Parts: sequence; C-alpha cells; structure tokens
Amino acid sequence: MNRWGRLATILSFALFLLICWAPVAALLAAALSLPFSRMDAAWLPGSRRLFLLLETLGYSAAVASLATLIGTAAALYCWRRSQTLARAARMAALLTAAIPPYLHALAWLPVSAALPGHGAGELTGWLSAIWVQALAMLPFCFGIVLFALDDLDPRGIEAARICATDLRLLVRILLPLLRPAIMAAASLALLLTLADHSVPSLFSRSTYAMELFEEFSASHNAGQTLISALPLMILGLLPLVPLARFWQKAAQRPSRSAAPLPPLQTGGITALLLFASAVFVLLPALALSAALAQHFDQPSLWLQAIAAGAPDLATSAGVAALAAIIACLPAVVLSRALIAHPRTLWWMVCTPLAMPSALIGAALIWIWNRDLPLPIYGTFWMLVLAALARFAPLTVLALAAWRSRMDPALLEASRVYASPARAFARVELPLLAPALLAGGMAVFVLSLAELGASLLVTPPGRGTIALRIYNYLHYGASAAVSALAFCLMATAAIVLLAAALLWKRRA
Amino acid sequence: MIELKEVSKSIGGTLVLDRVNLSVEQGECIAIVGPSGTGKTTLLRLIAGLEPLDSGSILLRGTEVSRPGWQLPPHARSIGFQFQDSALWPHMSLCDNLAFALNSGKIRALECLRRAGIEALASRRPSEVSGGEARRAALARALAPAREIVLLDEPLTHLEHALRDGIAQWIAAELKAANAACVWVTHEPAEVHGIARRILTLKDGQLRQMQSP
Repeated sequence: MNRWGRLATILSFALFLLICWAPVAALLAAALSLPFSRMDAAWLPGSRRLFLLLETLGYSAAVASLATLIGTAAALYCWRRSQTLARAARMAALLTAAIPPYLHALAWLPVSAALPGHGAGELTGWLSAIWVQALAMLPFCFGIVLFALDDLDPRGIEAARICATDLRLLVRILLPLLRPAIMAAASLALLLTLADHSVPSLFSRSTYAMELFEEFSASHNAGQTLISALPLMILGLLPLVPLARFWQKAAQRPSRSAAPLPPLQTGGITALLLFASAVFVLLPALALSAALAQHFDQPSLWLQAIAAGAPDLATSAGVAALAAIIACLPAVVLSRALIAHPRTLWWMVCTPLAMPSALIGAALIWIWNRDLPLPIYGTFWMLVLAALARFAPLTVLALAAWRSRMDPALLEASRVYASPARAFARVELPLLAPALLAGGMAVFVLSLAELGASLLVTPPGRGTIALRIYNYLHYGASAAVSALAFCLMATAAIVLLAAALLWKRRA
Repeated sequence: MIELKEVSKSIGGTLVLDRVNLSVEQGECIAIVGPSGTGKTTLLRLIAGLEPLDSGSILLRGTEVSRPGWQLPPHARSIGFQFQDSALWPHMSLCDNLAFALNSGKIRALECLRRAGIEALASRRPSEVSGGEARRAALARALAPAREIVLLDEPLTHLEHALRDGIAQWIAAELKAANAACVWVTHEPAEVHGIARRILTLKDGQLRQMQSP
C-alpha cells in the first residue's frame, strides 16, 4: 500500500469511528461520570422493568418467528419457480422493505380497533403489533432466505431429486442447508424489533426501547439511559453472532449461475408455500392501498396535508441523501479491511447496529449540546449524524460482501497495468459501483423513514416526514396521514426504482 | 531480462519457494511445469510484484525490483501478465480493456485485437464473447507490443483442444515478434513443445529438473 493508500485507510477508519463509535464512547463517558449508587440503581432493573424486558423479548421473538416462517415459505415457493414470479417477488421485497413499520400500522390500526376485546385486552394490542411488525420484517427475511437459495449449488439439488421426493428434499436437504440463512433472518428481525418502539406504542403497548426514550426525555441523563439500556443492548448483541456466521459464509462463497430447475412438487405443502407468498407479495400492498384509498375522496385534505408536510419531506430527503453519500465514503476502504480481518472488524462494524435508536439520540445530544467550535446542536446535521450512526455499517457490509465475491484477479490485473490511483478510479470503483448503489440506497431509504433517534434530535422549528406521520397516527388513520404516507412511499419507490434501473444498466 | 536470486516464499507457514534461482534471457521462453499447489503461480506473482518475497531478490532488465521489505509496484515493472481466468474487467469493452492496460488510445488497442483475430468483437464486453475469445483478448493484453517481459499463467487451460494449437502458435509468433522474455506456467509440458527453450519442474519449492524439449 502506498502513502495515499495508507492515508485513505486512516481517514476512513477515523470517519467511521467518528460516525458510529463516537456516540458509544460519549455514552460510556457519561455513564462513568455517574455516582456509583445511581449506576447500581439503573443497572439492576426493578420488577416492573424486568417484566417489561421479558415482554419485549417475547414480542420480538414472536415477530422474528412469524416473519421468518412466512419469509422462508415465500422464498421456497418463489425460488426458480418462474422468471416472472421471481422478479415480481424480488421487486416486492425491494419496495416493501422501504415501508417503515409505522406505515404498516396505518393499514392495520382500523382492523385492530374493530377486533373484539380491543381497548380492554392487552393481548389484542400485542397480537396486532406482532402482526404489523412481522409484515415490516418480512421483506428482509424473504430476501436473506432467497439469497441463500439462489446460492445453493444446483448440482447438489439435482442429485438429491434423483433419489428422493421433493418433500424429502425439502426436509432433509434444503432446510438443513438453509439453517444459517434462516437463523440470520430471524436474528435480523429480532435485532430490528428489539430496537424499535414505534409499532407497539401505536397499539398502546410499551416496550423496553420506549422506556429508554421516556427515561431520557424525563431525565436528560445519557449515562443513566445507557446503563438502563444495557440489558437490551446485551440481548441485541446476541443476534449478531448468527448474522456474522451467515455473512462470513455467504461472502466467501462464489456466486453461482441460476441454472433452471423445475419447481418443487411438495404436495399439500406447496399450497401452504403459495399462501405464504400471497401474504408476502399481496397483503401489505393491498392493506396499504385500502388504507390510502379510504381517504382518497377528500382531495382537498390530501393537498392541504401535502402542502404542510412538504418542508418535512424535503428535510427528510436531504438528510437521507447526505447520509447515503457520507456513509459510502469510509465503506470503500473499510470493506477491504473487513475482508482481510473479518473476525476483528466484524464487531467494530456491526455493534453499532445493536444500539437502540433512542440511545443514539441521547448520545448525540450529550456530545453536541455544549459549547463547541462546530455548532451542530439544534441544526439539520443532528439528523444526518443520527441516520449515519444507525445505518452507516450497512454500506460497509454491502461493499464487503460484494468485494468477497469479486474475482481478486480483476484488481490484481489493474495493479499490473496501471498506477494505484488510475486502477482505483477506472477499475475498482466501477466494479464496486453496484454495491455502492445498493448500500447507499439502503441507507437512503432507512434514513428517510428514521424515527427513533429523530424523535430526540430534531431541531426546533424543523421536522421530518416520519415524525409528522407518527404524531398524526396517534390520532388514528386520517386523510392527512394517508397523504403523507403516500408521499413518503412514493419518494422511496422513485429512488429505489431509479437505483434498480441503474443497477440493471451496469449489469 | 528476468533474474531470481535465492528467492524464498512461505504462505500460511508452508515454504512454497525455497531459495529459487532463475534466469531468463531476452527472447527466451521458459516453461515451468508441476502439479497444482506447488507454487508455480506464486512464482509468477512474485515476479509481477503482486506478492512480497521473504528472502532473496528479483531483477528485471538488470534492475532490482523486489527484495525483502521493498518492491517496485506492479504497474511500474512494464510487464504483461496473463491470469488463469483471463481477468478481463467486466464493465469495459474488449477494446477498452486493452486501451486501459496499454494506457493508450483505442487505435493501438484495436491493432492488438486485430492481431489476436478478434477486432470484430472490440465493442463487446467480456460477458458477451465466448471463453476462447475472452482468452484471446486477455492474451492480447498480456502480449501487447513493447512488453519485453511476459508472464503466462496456464494460458491454454479450459480451452477446447481444437483452439489450443492455434492460440499456442499465435502466442509463439507474438513472443518472437516482440523478442520478449517469457515465463509460461502450465500443467502440460506438451503445450509448450516447440515454444519453450527450457522446461523446468517446480517441486518441493525448488526448480529441480531441467530438460530440453
């Protein structure tokens, strides 16, 4: 590595640490400055908090199980069944992944209200929250399992089909081969659900993440919030283990060609798989369309809401675009290092993903709400920093996975024939472009709808579209919510479709 | 032209090359044969500067280019390298692949493709041509005129037998025209009959047997 390469590496590491680890370091500093008695009291949860933690864990586990079950079944049904269906399912996964959980709630709030026992029974609220959050997690679970299925060696599957029925193939070959992917899908759903409090709160249920948000809002003490969050953070770190195993295996495996394979003939199970696919592809879209159409006969209310929400949408889009661009900068170099030292760097890259969003907001306030040469606090940049702290690791992972599957000889050949700068600009960067696009889009879409940290760091006089929708949703599904939800989804869909077209052109 | 002096290299604790000495004159082509995993490709990568060596030194055109702790960057060595799997950049057309490698305009790249017999495919990307055509393009990149040193890593592997003879003869003609020093790594000694002046066998980390073809 030459001098410029070393400098780029140092700057990339510094930028990533500043983005993702400065909040962690700030929280630790705040916690260490607490008197021991307060630390002790915060760390040992009382019986109410302990119950809340168990409830949150049960809720998250139920969401992860349901989403993984339906996602796996849908992926098994769609896998190489037909080009059209597979494409439609992939597109559905791409588009529905961009719908934040609280927008799914928009579609199901009226259904939940109509259920018997609503208002009186806690169970109804929990069941509704589980269902809605599972729908939001479905695309991720479906995507992971389908990716693993696409990666299977077709020769092994064909060999099994010669000597066994498809049902036996499913039980004895496919499911065991898919176990790491299924575990990874469930872990991701668990991780994202543990950190999210928007859906349960809309169904009048509280979770541990919500408790953290409320605690910081009341005390403004970041250190104490960190100590209270420790049980949740430890639970959040556990799913990273199966995720790491899956990612490392998937990243090392060369991509295989999608050889045509006749669809699985699994008797009655096929009907169940088909049902799961229908749930995945159709239900979220139908439910949301119905919710939006409910208020479509009030165009003046829609227009009013859009006019009022336009500045918020512009803020959110600006935050998302900046976060996506900045997140890509350190990822180019960091992804190279992650492949070289996966065991060491995996935790550095992924641990920030286990941080509850409210905690990131609290940390950013602790860092910037003081007399500093850079007047960041109370500005738009707090939102950008919050989005980066939550989602920047995703670009590193996307790029590292892509790099691992690239033929190393391509980069070596460029080193033989061109200077490092020219080889980087003309070969490495164009080869990485699809992964940069994918990672950047993931950050864009997630940042556009980010809520947990924005609730705390949004500057006075400004708002985000997610905040506006969330606030309105507490008063039920109205024309204003429908209009703003439509704007948010349309923005995400347009950007995603543009990215998909660019990807296709590059491929 | 190419000189290796007491070159040693370990990979993962295994000694792959053990005090190897080698000298290749201008206009000379030598072949290195041996089973998989004996270090043939590693030897080429050391000469190309893609790997650091543990001990010894490598000289190209009489100038030291590698020693422990220091090596001239690969691009500054002015060599041609044929990788095992062609390694054509998929986002560029065949013509752009050559133009980039030659650091020249398209006219020179087209001339190289013409010599390789695939000028008509210049605007196609590597994924749009057959394996044999892609191999020809990769070889054209490695054998581009003015490359005095050429390293070939199994250039005929995975090609149909019908294509092999034609490509081998074309490589020989190009090497002769450029008066290049060439190290040709292969599994099959028969491939290099009539082309290589010497055939060396790499075994247990050392270039042992030598024979005249």
